Amino acid sequence: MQDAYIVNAVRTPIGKAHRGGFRNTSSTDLLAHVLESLVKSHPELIPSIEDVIVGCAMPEGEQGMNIGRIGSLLAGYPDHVPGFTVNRLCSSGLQAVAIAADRVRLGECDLIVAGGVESMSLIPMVGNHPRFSPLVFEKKPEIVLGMGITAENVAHKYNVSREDQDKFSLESHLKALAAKEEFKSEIVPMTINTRTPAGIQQVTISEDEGPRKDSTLESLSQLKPAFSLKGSVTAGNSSQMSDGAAAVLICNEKTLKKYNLTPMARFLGFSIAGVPPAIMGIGPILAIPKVLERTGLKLQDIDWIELNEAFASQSLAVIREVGLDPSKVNPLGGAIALGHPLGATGAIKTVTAVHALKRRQQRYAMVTMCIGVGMGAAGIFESVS
Amino acid sequence: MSQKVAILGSGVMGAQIAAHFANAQYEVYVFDINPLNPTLLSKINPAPLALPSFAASLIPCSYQQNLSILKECFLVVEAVSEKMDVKNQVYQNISPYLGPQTIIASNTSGLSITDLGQLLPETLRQRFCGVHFFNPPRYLPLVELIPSPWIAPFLLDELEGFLTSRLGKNVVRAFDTPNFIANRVGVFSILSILHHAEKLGIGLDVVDQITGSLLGRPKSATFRTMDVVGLDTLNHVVHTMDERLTSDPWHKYYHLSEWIQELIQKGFLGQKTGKGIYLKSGKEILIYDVAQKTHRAQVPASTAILEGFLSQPQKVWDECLKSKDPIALFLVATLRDLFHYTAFHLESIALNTRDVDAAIRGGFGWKLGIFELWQKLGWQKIAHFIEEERQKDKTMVKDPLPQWVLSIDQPYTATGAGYCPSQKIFIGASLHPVYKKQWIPEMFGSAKPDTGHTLRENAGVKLWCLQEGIGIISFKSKMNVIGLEVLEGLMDALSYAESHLNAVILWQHQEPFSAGANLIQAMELVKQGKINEMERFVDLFQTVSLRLKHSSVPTVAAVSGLALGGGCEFVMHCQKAVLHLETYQGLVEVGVGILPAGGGCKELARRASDKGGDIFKNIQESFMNVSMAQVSKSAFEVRKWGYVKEETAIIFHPKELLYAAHMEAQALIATGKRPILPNSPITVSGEGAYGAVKAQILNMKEGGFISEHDVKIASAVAMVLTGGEFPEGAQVPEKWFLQKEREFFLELLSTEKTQKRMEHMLSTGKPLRN
Repeated sequence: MQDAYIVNAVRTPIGKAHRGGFRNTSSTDLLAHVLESLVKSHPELIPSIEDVIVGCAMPEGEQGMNIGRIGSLLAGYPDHVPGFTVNRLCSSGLQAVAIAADRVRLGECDLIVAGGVESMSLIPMVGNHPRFSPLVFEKKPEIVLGMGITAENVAHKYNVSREDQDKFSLESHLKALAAKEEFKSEIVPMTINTRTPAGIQQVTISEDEGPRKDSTLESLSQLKPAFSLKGSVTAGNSSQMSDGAAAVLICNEKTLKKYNLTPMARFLGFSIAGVPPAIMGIGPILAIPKVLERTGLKLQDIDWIELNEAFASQSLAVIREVGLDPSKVNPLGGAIALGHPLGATGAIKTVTAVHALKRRQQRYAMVTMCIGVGMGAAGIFESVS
Repeated sequence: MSQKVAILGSGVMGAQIAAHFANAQYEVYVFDINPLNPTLLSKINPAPLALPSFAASLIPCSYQQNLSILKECFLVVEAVSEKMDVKNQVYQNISPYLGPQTIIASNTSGLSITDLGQLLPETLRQRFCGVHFFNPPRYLPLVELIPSPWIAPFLLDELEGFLTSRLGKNVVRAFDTPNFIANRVGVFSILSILHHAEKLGIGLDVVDQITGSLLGRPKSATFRTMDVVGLDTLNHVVHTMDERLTSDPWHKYYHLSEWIQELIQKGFLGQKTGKGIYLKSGKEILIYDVAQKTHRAQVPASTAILEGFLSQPQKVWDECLKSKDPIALFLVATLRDLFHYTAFHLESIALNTRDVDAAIRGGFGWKLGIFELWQKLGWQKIAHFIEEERQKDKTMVKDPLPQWVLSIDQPYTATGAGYCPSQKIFIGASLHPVYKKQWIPEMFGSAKPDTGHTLRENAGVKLWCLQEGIGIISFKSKMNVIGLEVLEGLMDALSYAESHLNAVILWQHQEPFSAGANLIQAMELVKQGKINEMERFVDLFQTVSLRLKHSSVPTVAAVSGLALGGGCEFVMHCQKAVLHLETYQGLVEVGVGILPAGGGCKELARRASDKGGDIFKNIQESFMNVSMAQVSKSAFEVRKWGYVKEETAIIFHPKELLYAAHMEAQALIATGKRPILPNSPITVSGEGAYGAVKAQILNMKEGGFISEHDVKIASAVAMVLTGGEFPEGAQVPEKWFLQKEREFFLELLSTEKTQKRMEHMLSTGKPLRN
């Protein structure tokens, strides 16, 4: 098996869904922007790209019809470069990276692009046409449970208090606010032209829109439970709905040499595991040990952990159950502050992790998340600079 | 006439008046030093706007930049603060910009219209008058129209027509005297209540127990009303009387007690500061204790002696005269002095007795006017009683009643014409053409409304007519609830109408339109285990609905006030509806543990199907409205929710409703409108959509927002609305929906929890969550 190297990694800023700068931007445009930016400094690579694999959690409407292919064409990649879309809900982006890396590791591809995209402004969480078969209620009604309810179940089962959830959320905001400068190396600003009846409005978005300077423990503690009358999960301690895209360029050693490329990180492994849908948030508890075992690493070897903050309750349950070192988890803030554009998140977290390894000169990074309808995923990257 | 009006001042009154013009579909330019913030209105309860989106018609303006718009406005209402210099400043500001036709009216409650007019250039004075709205202006019907000495009479007539028909107000013309009519006598009533309560040592809580619904006055009685108005505002109104009515014999009473002044100083202004005479403490509502100078728990007193005052006032009055109970003495004293005061001042403040009573009814929400009550108690008897009491020095002032009081036998003629002391004649309703649309107007004294010509009558309904060929069906039940006798009456009336009439209107003499199905009757059948009869009941209900929809003669619902449950279903099935602005309609069956089974669910599914496109999207709002038992907050909302057609007329004056319904019926007759043929199938959103709704329901249950029984009820509603047994897009016959409504209805009714919900609603008037 060959090594798979990440040679470039970029993302858009994460926009607030419905209110933010990307609220009218088509998912295809977000994706084309990152795909184009990814190879801007090496246009000579473009004809050799062998596939474009894109994660997307609600691949319909503006992000339907195989957005992997459409985004690649809109980015100016030539017709002979193919593309496809993968969906594993919240880990779609990481799944895309894993599939792309595996293609290289197997020796089936020399140069490949992976990424993720989601516009929650344009496609609602359950899709445009939500329907459930009677069979669902007959066989497995937990499938229809809202994510918020599953977060309440986790809080209940793992005894995660409201206060701890709010504290965790406030820290996420504080860390994200402090990370603005660090994020500059991974973000590719995007200029949006919006035609309004009053004329064309041009806005350049270059920073994440989610982090709030006005968050306090007091303001967070005053929010009403959002999903359960007597629950502890609020809008303030849940991830935000967002718009965004990210992409990474992956190749083998032969390609590194041929084009004289400097790798950022090496892909080491990926795991996926299923858990009961009613407590989907604990997915990483199963996925993390699995990926560590596969890669032969110990938990303490990992220097940097991007744990997707779907909810503070499940993040804390995972941290406590797996025994993660809180100081290593989301040092630049997580989805509670930055936002969680479903299918893009796995790719975005990969981008953040490999940039952090390089910038902070650390060795191992892990990207992990829980997944709707009950799964967990984890991937590990190693710095090579 | 232009579609634009300007409101000057966006305080409590200005903003709400502006909102009501927006309700009436005018472009409203709101001027203030600090421009109006339309979201402010969303915080006022009850809502000034009929739909939140109407805030878009309120355009904030500044005196610096936007005055040029005034020339396009047909009316400018000034509602800036009650200070002569402030008003002067505003008048000077706007005068050069008014259009040649613009009417300018002040909403002042205390300043003289003549004095204000003098601030304006002479050319504008002939277009100046007072229009005095009452708070809350959308809901209180009274507007006092006060002519300035210069105004052209035709402009007053124009304004009266506009205020009546377009804004739905009851216009009373007032003379330019301090506080005009309603506040003059209404505030005196408060002052005399304060005076006598203090003298007799009656607690404020007991005063409110007496002076509320027991006397046919609003539930907020005296002190809660004062809290709503604002103690500082009331103080201002009283101060105006003190300042401007120096030769009034009652002048020495024109001040508020010391303890109220103290509350004002401490910031206890009432509702606006969240504390006043009443104070919310945890779950308890405390009341001010004058002697202890602090708030305390309320202590109910026995008011047994006053029970039945409204139905038999003479009897209660006579018993009070014999009693030593302070409560009885209090009632006698306050009414005696109110009669004395009002008779004494009638000639100077209003044209006739009717205008005073119309003002107190419309501005203070009293069911009976002052002279009306006096008449009921016996005019001459009370007049002599006041004279006796006066001679015994018991009345608040010693001045005698005016001569005219003893010269008449009644303050009203049998037809409701009110006595005019200056001309010594009785004057009836205005001849203004706007009142020609009020076919059954408000009645005064002992006058009875026109009952037309009765065609059919049984225990449940009366079919009658005012115009040949057009029948009016009115229910005879309490709250116009729909029981077996009403259903049978409707069947008979509709049969008669189809063979003898050209159209039929559903209209009630009194609100509500209908509080829904007769729950008492339903409960009895359930308790006696008469399931067959219950089945017959729901069957008949559906049959009546279908007959309303498919009748060979047009059916028109004329709706005002509550139209709940079965009442809402009847409106949905009538071939046409006209709604009064204040229509509170909804399918509320879920609140008592059942589902709409009079064809309401079927009709919602039908409408979602007829609309086309994504049928599931069309049905989702309906599902929420039904499962949350939502009641509309205005007729506009009824229209928005699809309970009536989008083009349904909304009438602002409730007394014009019957006229409007007749005009609609005539139009349907004239254009030969045919009913929709029965039995066309309904396209459903189907089993997948049912699953999606079911998912929402399960999540609500998991979140603890709804109970197990709610899940059962909501799932039943979802099944019927989505046609959940069939694939998406299936064409399902109407009878399936009706069948399902009946099945679920009987199934739910047989559960203990639904029965508990019904019992609870019947005994408390509130829904039970179980």
